[in-house]
Amino acid sequence: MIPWIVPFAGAAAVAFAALMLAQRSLYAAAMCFLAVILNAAVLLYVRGAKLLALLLLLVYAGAVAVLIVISIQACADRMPDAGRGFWSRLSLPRPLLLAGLLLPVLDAALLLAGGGAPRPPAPAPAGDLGLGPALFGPYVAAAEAAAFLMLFAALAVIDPGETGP
Amino acid sequence: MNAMIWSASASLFLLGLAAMVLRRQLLAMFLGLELMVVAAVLALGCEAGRAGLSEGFVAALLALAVAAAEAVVGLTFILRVHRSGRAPETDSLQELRG
Repeated sequence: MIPWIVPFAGAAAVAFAALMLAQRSLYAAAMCFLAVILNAAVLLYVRGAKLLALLLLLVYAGAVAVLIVISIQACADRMPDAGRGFWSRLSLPRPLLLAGLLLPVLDAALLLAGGGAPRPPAPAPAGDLGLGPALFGPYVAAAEAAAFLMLFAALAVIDPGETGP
Repeated sequence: MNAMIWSASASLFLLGLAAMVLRRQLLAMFLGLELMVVAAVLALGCEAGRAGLSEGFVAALLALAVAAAEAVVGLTFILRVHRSGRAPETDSLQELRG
C-alpha cells in the first residue's frame, strides 16, 4: 500500500471542490467537478469499494459530466458575462487543471503497480461480492424503486412539454 | 486514515452546500448539489469498504442511481428555463405560475 495516496487524493478532492466553488466559468467548474470525481473514485478504490469506484466513474464522469457540459453549451447564449465581482478575478490555470485530471490516473497506476488496493482491515468482509445478493435480496424493492425513478426521469426528458415565454 | 476520509467527505459536503448557497447560476448550484451527493457516496462507500458491509454498498449504489435520475430531471429543468427565454439564474425565477 502507498500510505500517502489517501491524504493526497482527499486533499486534492477538497482543493478542486474549493476551486469549483470559486470558478465563474462553468466549464472550469465542471472540469474541477470531474477532478473531484476522479479523486473520490481513487479513495473508494483504496478503501476496498472497487465496484463503487467504477460505478462512480461510469455514472458521474461518463454520464452526468457529459450532460452538464452539454447543458452549459446549450445555455451559453444567456449566461451573464464573466466580469462581475469576486468570481471574475479567479481563473483556473490550465496546468493545474491538467494535473488535477492526471494525478488520480497516476494514483491508480501506482496502486496497480504496487499490487493493487490494500485489503480492508475488517476480517473477511463480504464487500463487493455480497452486493448482488443484498441488492436483489432484501433490498430488491429499493432497487426496483430506483429503476422506476430512472425510467420516470427518462420520460421527463422525452416529453419537453410547452415551450416559449 | 479513516478520519482523513471522513474529513474529506465533510469538506466536500460543506463546499457543495456553499456552492448551493453562494452561487446564483442554476448550473453552478447543480454542481454543488452533485458534490454533496458525491460526498455522501464517498462516506458510505469508504465506511462500507472498511467494514465489509454489503448494506453500505447497496445504500451507496441506490444513492448513485437516485442522483443520476435527479441529475437528468435537474438539467431538464434548467434547459426548460433556458428555452422559456429566461437566464438560468435564480434571479429570473422569482414567480410561480400555475
